[in-house]
Amino acid sequence: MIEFNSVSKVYRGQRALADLNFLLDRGEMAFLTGHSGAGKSTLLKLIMLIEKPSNGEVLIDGQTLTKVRGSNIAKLRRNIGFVYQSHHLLSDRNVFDNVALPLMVAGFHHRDIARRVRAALDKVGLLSKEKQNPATLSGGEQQRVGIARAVVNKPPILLADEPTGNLDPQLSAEIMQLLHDFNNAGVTLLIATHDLALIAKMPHRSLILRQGQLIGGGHLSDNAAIERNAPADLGGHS
Amino acid sequence: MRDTPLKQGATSPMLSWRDQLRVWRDSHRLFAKQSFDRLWEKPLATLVTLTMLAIAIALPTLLHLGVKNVSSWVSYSDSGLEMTAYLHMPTVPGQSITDFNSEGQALALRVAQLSGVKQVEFISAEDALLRLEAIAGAGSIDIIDSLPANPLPAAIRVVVGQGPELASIANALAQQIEVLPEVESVRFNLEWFQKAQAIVQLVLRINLAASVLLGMGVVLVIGNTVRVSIASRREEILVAKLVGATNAYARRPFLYLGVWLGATGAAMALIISFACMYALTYYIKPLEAAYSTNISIQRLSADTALVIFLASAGLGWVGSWVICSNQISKLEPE
Repeated sequence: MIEFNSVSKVYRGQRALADLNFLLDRGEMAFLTGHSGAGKSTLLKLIMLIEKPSNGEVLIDGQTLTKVRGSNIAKLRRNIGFVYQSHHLLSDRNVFDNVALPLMVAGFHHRDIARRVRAALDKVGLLSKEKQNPATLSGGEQQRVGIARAVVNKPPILLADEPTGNLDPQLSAEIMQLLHDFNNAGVTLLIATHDLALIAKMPHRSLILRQGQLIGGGHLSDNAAIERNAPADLGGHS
Repeated sequence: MRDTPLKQGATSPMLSWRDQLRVWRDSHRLFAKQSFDRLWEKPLATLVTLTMLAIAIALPTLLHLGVKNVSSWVSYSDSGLEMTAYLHMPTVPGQSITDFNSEGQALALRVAQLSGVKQVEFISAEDALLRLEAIAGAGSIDIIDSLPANPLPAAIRVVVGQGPELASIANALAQQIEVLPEVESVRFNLEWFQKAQAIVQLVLRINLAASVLLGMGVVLVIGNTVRVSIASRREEILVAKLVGATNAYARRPFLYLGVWLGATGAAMALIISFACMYALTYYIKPLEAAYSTNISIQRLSADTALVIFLASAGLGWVGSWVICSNQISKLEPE
């Protein structure tokens, strides 16, 4: 589903990612770890077409991203839900309208919009708060609204950048469980996080980045070894 | 996970073209409404902008009205040189006025066939008297009524079409009409017409230049307002783009903003113009009484008002588009 072939990214002479190779299968769930500056965000931005690789190619569902341009970039992004650490909710509209945004943008009928938004809010347990302004919600609730927005148009891929970064362990576990539920429903999931305690509880592959290089998790065969090594390898930085 | 290609997933709606059209129309309607409502979130700033626009639009409008009125007061018509052929008084004994007038009408139609003639109008003696009364005002009615008979002759008003050889055409035409047995004399004032024409053309050119400059002003003011609006809604644009908004989609509310500013500014300019013309009527009344005359005031025609309104809305769209095409596409998530 997501494939990186010899991908490098250089920012103003600074190497952010170097010769990255990995494949994420359809319906797979994986973590992306590494300490700050290791290149996690850059990797997600390449998938979101926010950045273009300096070398190599990124493929989504067999489609080479470097060849996508113009309004096709926008259309491709509709296939990828994105959950942010700072959730990026708009404070000038209520929860319902925030979650409805991806559907409005994609040109859904308002009848379908109402149905899908309510379904997404129900899924994250916030149906009763659809009329509230996101600013009046707690941090955990805001993050759940962000997730509802990311999944409302049922994208086949869901990316999350430090989705539990600002939350306490209890809430973090809830959010992770929620994301896991989407994976069970068939969504391909890649979660960037340095919450190693959470990763350790979940039986999924971890892609480990250090200074722009993938030091583990790139191939399915590595998995067992990497998962054992991951906590020890990053212990000092988390 | 279903094994279908990514592009055909549930992420885009499966709608008939009729429903797609409906969704498109609904989204435009929503954007139009939201953009209009947003204008009044900062009423003071909006009013200042609108007043600037209204003044910029009202100035050429008023200049246009000025030219139109002064032209009308001095009987200058842009359509062409006016020539009046006065007919002999009815002399055939026993001929009724109706017969005389229908002969005059027939003559007018013959004159209309002559080369260079753009328009003809037969003015009967009775019509001429009514027009005199209208121009001379209420005070003159007693004097006119005291006359034993209508002293005015019937006439044919001829408009000679504009052209580079107006002088020679007009002279030739006057000669042709003058030799007609029914015609007593032909009067026209070529020199005056040409002077008036030169002045009117000059003023119209000045107004055109002013309109172009002020139109650019309208584009810039609206462009700047849209730029500020884009800056203040940066976050919203970025989030919309991250969830798959195209540049066209992100531009839409701002294009509506530009159109609303142009249209509302034009509406205010038209109100200002109507108010000015109303004030003019008010000040002309004592003048009319003093000179015992009627001054007709030429108002803004509905057509012209519509053109001004649509042109301003169009300029708003242009101003907004210039800024949007530059700023919105530059605004990409980082």
